[in-house]
Amino acid sequence: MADSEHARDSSTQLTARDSRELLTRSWMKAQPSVFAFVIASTPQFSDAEDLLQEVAAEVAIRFDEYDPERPFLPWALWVAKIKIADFYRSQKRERLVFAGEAIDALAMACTRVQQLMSEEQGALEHCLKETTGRTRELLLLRYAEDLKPRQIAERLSMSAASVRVTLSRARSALGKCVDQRLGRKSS
Amino acid sequence: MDSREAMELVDAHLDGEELNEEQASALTEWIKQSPEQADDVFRRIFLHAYLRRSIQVAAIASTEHVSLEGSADHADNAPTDAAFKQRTQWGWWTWSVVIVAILGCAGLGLALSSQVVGSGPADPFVYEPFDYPGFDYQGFGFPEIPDSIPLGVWPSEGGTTGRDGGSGFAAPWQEEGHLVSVIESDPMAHPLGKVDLRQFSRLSYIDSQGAVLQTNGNQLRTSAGDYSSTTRTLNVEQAPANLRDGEQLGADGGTLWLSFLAQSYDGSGEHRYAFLELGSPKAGLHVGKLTSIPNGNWGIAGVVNGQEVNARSSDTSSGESVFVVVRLEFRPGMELATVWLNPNLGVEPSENTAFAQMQVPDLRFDRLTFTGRFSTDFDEIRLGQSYHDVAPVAAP
Repeated sequence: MADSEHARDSSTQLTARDSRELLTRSWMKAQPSVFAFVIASTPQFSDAEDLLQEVAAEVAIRFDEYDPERPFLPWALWVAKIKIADFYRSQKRERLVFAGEAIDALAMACTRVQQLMSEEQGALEHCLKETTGRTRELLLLRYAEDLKPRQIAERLSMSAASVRVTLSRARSALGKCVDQRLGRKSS
Repeated sequence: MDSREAMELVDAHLDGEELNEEQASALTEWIKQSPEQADDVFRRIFLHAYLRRSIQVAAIASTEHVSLEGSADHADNAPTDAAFKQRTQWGWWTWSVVIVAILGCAGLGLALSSQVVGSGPADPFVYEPFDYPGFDYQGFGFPEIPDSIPLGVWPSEGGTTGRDGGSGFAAPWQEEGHLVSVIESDPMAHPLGKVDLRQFSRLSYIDSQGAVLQTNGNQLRTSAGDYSSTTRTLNVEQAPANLRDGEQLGADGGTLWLSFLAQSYDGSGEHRYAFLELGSPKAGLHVGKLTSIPNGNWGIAGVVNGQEVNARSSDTSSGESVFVVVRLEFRPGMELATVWLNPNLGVEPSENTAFAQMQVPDLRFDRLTFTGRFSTDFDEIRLGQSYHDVAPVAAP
């Protein structure tokens, strides 16, 4: 190989390597927010997790189209919206709760609050450790086993309404705990 | 609608309940009313997503611990025992790795190694990133993408011999087997077979919170065939005084942390092995893909008179990339080894998330040896006095 060809190859390789690194770093940073966005439209965890993998693959395939001068997250959310729409078309699922303007508003919210999420995760980790008893049990059944409130109610001989209320209060309490740890006023 | 009602509707939706037209419209209108309200809804959704991945990971760790220790103490505790055993395959960290692997498969994958900068005062007293030039497969005449690992096509000399980078060593690497280990610079370009699971990304690790292990350089690849033994002597004199016992490491009362990344060609077991060896054949420790664990999963075993003893197998196939952390507590008599697979970075993992805690023979060591007869990659070898020393987080 001529020297000039070698130099050109090295240059191309470096660019590809930089591109890979940019994608990997951008995706890792955006991934928790994209996952939340996907869950908003696809509450079934197994579906959301499958869909997130499809979004990741699509992001990789389309990465040449991404303009590195612009923020990555909104672009990744745009890709996610396309994959969510495809998913609902292919699965012929029930209508989307968050669609149209609502999902656009959520995408904007996602972009706005992304910076807060890393500190919120740290606070949440502490707050989660403080949960005990029945609340913790319900959270474990809901999130580790992916049981719906009705199924949890059957498992624990509770009413479904009671499970729903307890879970909802637990989430609100976690939200307040996070706000307190971060010195914010609860909304 | 007030905030509480809106959050209850969000919760109902995320819990899989179908909202009626009126409820869905009301929620949509509420989200559109102000950016603050949209932010609150998104934060609630984010909380839901966080709880899923955080609690699922804790449950998986709990499951692995319980199954390995064989305890029946939690038989009545459904959420932490039997119920969790139903879900072990798709934890957050697992599919994070899968997703990164997908990126790699699309030709745009993981390249975390070369420009990562340390984010804290991690100070391992031994560190080997294998920052050496890669093995020239083409020049050696290795088939481009063979169907499976070709027999008898592997170098028997050269390898890592003479490589002397890293820190904390007293001598260069030395090859002592029939075959040699090589330096792998681009696993995506060098699958040793069509089902080589290493072809999707470089060795790397992202924890359940998205934190990335600091990595540098290339990686070590043990021989495809029988067998390679790649060894390097440590500079014990420069190791912390409380760990030194004469010319070896292992003074009673000392605690040593060790970590590395690893992934094998696939999860095959039986007589295939590739592991890190500490100590001697008389009294030592093996960590990796072990002869005494026929299912091919990652594991650990003590060594007494050349035989692996007290082997503990994890639930993780050696075809999966893992971040292995070992804490060795040197005590009078048997030592205590605690092992974690894929712990979160940043905070020292608790013992109840370890996959194994076991007594190992009274060992001392002054070298690291990678022995293998099945192609397996290792990287980012660190020895330190704290978890932080061996689990540094890459700068964002």
